[in-house]
Amino acid sequence: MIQPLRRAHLRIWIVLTIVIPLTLFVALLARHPAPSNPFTWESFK
Amino acid sequence: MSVQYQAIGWNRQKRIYDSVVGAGAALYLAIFLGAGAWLHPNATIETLLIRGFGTLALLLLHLILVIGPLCRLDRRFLPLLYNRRHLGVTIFFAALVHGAFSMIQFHALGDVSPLVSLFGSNTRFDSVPDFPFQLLGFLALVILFLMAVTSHDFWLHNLSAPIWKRLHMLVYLAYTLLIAHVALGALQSETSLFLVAILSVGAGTVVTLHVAAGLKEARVDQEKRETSDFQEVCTVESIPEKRAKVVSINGERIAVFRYDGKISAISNVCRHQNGPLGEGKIIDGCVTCPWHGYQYLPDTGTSPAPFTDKVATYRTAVVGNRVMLDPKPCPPGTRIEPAMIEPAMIERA
Repeated sequence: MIQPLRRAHLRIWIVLTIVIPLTLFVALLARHPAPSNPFTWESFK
Repeated sequence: MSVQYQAIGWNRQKRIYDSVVGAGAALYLAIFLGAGAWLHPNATIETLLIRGFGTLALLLLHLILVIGPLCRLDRRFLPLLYNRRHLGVTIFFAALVHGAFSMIQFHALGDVSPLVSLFGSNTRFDSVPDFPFQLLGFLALVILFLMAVTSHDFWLHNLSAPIWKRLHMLVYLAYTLLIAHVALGALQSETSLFLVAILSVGAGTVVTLHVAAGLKEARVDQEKRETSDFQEVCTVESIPEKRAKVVSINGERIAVFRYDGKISAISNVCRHQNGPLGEGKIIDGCVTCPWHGYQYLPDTGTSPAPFTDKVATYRTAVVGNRVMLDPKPCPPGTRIEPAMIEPAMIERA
């Protein structure tokens, strides 16, 4: 792999080190005790 | 490496690789569907298939994303890299089945087009728990589709390696979209924390390995040397026979090969997919890329006939046991007389 691509990979993953855990954390905080999402798995059976 | 395009250039290793992937996917689905039906007897088969294929795609995506950094950290993982594109196409098909069943179950039974329903039935972009997470999955599926249809060497050559590589780096965006798709979708309706735990472990592993491999590569790149005249890069003994030592001179990586009492240096970057030539070995007199087997003669940097690929070559010299290198690259394909190792050095090694 050439150097600019190697650098781009590292930069991307440093950003994702912040973005991915943050996404999971925010989603966890937002969870309701009971399902509220209109697309819950069994609601459209 | 082939002269003309074939749909798939099958060989024994590819057959074994694909058999393992296919059998593993089938086994996973069988266990998932069996256990799902047993633990959730009220769940419909459509729901179980949606979940089964969705988790299979996500699991395989984690697997494919750790192969690259594992190979950078330890070359023993290189066999996993060899047929990675077939694994990527498998992921797309698993995600496609998941998406198709989801569209049928959630969007195809009304009086509007399924796509209109997908984009218009939930517009709560301002809500985290009610976010239209299915759109994230759809966007990720579009990226996986683009990657799957351009995975053949035909597209690699016609798009050129830099553009192809950048296109396929979109997998990182697809991965982030899928993490958000699961976190804002299934995670919101799951009462068990098992999915949270397993997703966190998976994402943590992928991120950690990529950053670790990236930092390791950056350390090698930072080895600054002067760019004029010959300079010492390593000792003869530090290069195993028919192998190379990769040196970095101002960011350019050069593979210094030792073979048959000689030393030659070529660019470390394979013309096929930028694979690391210095991590390969000399087979039948040719430097062989560890990724897909592209070959180059060590003294000329050219592929053996009838192939026409060329990489840059470098002037080398051996003084005592020291390997010297002129960091100025010669035009790709330029023959450079290999530096001869002194007989006493060969005997000592």
